Amino acid sequence: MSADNLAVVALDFPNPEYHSLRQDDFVEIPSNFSFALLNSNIRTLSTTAAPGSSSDITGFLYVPEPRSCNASHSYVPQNVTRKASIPSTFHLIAFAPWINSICTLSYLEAVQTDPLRAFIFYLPDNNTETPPLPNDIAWGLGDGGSWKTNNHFPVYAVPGAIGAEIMNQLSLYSGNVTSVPNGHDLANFGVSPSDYIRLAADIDLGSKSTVPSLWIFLLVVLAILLVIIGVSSFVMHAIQRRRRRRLARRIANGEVDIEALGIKRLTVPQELLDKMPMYTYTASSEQTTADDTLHEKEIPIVNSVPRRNSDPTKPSVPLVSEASAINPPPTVLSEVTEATNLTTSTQHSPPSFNQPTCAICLDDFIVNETIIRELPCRHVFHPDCVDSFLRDNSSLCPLCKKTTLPRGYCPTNITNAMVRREAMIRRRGERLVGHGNYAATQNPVPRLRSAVLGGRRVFSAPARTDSAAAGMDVEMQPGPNSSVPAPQPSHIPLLSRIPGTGPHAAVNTPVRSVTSPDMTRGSVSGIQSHPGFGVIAPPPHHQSRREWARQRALAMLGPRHQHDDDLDDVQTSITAGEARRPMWKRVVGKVFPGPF
Amino acid sequence: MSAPTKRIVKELTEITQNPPAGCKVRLPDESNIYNWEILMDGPADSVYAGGHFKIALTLPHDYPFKPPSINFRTKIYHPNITNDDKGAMCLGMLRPDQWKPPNKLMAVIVLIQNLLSKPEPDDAVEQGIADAMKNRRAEFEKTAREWTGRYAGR
Repeated sequence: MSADNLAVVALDFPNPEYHSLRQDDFVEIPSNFSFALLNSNIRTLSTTAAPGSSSDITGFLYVPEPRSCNASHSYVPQNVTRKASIPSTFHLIAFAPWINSICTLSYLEAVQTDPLRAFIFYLPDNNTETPPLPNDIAWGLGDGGSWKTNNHFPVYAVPGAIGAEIMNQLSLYSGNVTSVPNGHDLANFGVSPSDYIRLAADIDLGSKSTVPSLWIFLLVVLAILLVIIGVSSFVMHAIQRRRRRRLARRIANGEVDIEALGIKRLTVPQELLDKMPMYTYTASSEQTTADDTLHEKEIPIVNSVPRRNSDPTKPSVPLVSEASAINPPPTVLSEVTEATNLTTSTQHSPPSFNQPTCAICLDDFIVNETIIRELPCRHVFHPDCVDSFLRDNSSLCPLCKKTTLPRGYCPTNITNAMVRREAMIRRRGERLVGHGNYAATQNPVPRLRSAVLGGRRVFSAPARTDSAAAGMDVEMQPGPNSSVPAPQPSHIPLLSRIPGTGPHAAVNTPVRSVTSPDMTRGSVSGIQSHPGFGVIAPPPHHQSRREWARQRALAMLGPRHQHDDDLDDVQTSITAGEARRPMWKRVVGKVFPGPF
Repeated sequence: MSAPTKRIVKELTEITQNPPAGCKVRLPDESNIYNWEILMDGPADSVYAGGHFKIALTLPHDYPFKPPSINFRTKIYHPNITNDDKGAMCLGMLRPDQWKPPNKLMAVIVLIQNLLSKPEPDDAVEQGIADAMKNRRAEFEKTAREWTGRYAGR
């Protein structure tokens, strides 16, 4: 460490021969009574054995006695402070003029056995500037500078004028108290005559930090950046957390169905399955005629039953079915009742089952024998069939694709990705529909949802082939659909598809009737029209679409042969989507959730 | 007999007894009812008329909860069927998100027939063929007939 400045003061301390010294026995003589000097023009010649930074080198100054340096007599007074004039056991700092190399070498030789902390030289040239640099010719001893490392102490140099003054003062502060300048005053002041008053030097090695200021600046900037990043990350996490909670609340309230929107495949846990009611199947054909009339008038009031609390302990209430086993009404019917029973809930009638067949195993129900499970959408199945489907595959009714999860049940951990998709779907839907009727945007979901998911599809692409497939979308309900005015034969499958999304509309707009084709078409006609069909997806991006279709085809062919295709479609595609993102994007997304 | 097997047998019986026009269904391996083979005649009103197409219909093990997969074993020039050794077709109700358990395999077969009659170039997996069909109709029809004669001939 290079020295910053040199301080020389006169210290008064008791004679250690009389009593042992303590730290506070050293008294600095006030400068108006004694010599004091502070000079920052100090040059470090060698740092050998110098202490680390922020510590000072202190010690009493003395002038060593070289064996062979006659020239020193002209620079060093006779009565200068010598080693003998300082009690032993103190730290010492040697002080000498740099006259020539012979003298310097002999000075250095003379102090080899002394307990030196440092050696201070001065060039006797009366200069007040900082002495020359360590590699200057003035400090050459003819050994290439190796003398600097051969000592057990650091070596410093002070300007010639300062050095001469210190040398002069050293000759004054070498005797007893009364002989020093102002000695009599000091004695009167209370300084014991047996005390020593000597010059002590303090070489300040600099207490400043070793880090350059530019680095500090950079560190400060970095710290500020980190704080900004931390704060914004925290805020964004908080916002996302709030959004997740809001979405969870809306899911629990039944405002959003994330499975129908294609955001996340859900399943129904066993305990919820157990709560769904089970009945013995009954059907009576007596009421067929009357019911058909009713259906034609589109007032299926008979079916409107207030939603009973699903209680497995009272499974068999008296059952009267208004549905005929021969000519059962279509799936749409139950949707109609769903919509109407909100308004006509005062009427009570027992549950009725208008499906003669289990849509999953295609077996007919046997009257008064088969145990059936009724879903909240009033579709009935064999418990064995539908339970495994709901438990392992989907939470949506196999027939109408309405969720079977009860209200107030938020089935899964809401992730930021789900929040993003839901918001995207909602925004896109609002833009498409114009006046922001979310219920209407949810209605054409099966076609829309893939379109709205844009580049990162979750489910599959929109199905244009529905028009081709339409004619033969054979479902479980055979027989003509008398309740629906059917101008085009091809719209029956359309309707049987619409109920799948109808429930969302029913939740939001309870009075909406799904059976009205005009309304169905009207609600989506703002999007795009197509002869015969209400909904057409926006034009696809052909390239990505083709690529997607290829991959889908490969994916379908590949794993399905090896193992049960139990992979959750949505999950896989979400995970695959996450995996496709570059690492840095994922990290940024973790730190700043939301827009990424 | 487990529930899915029962349903498959039921559907197979129904289709075998009352097959759609121009279709024959058989099991290549009698012990494995999950793999069906459909022999379908090209619809008379289509560019595939006169062709006999062999189609593999593979049922997933959790059928009817997952859709069957369709693979044309006979090469066909069609925008909705991949032009490779798989010959995969996946659209409409065959899409996993649109599949519903009540859908029957009879409907799937009818869907394939309709798709042969009316390809859907807007939902294509083979974009080149779709472009040809939309913009160069004559060329498309010529190639399709050519392929039908070359690959799907008797």
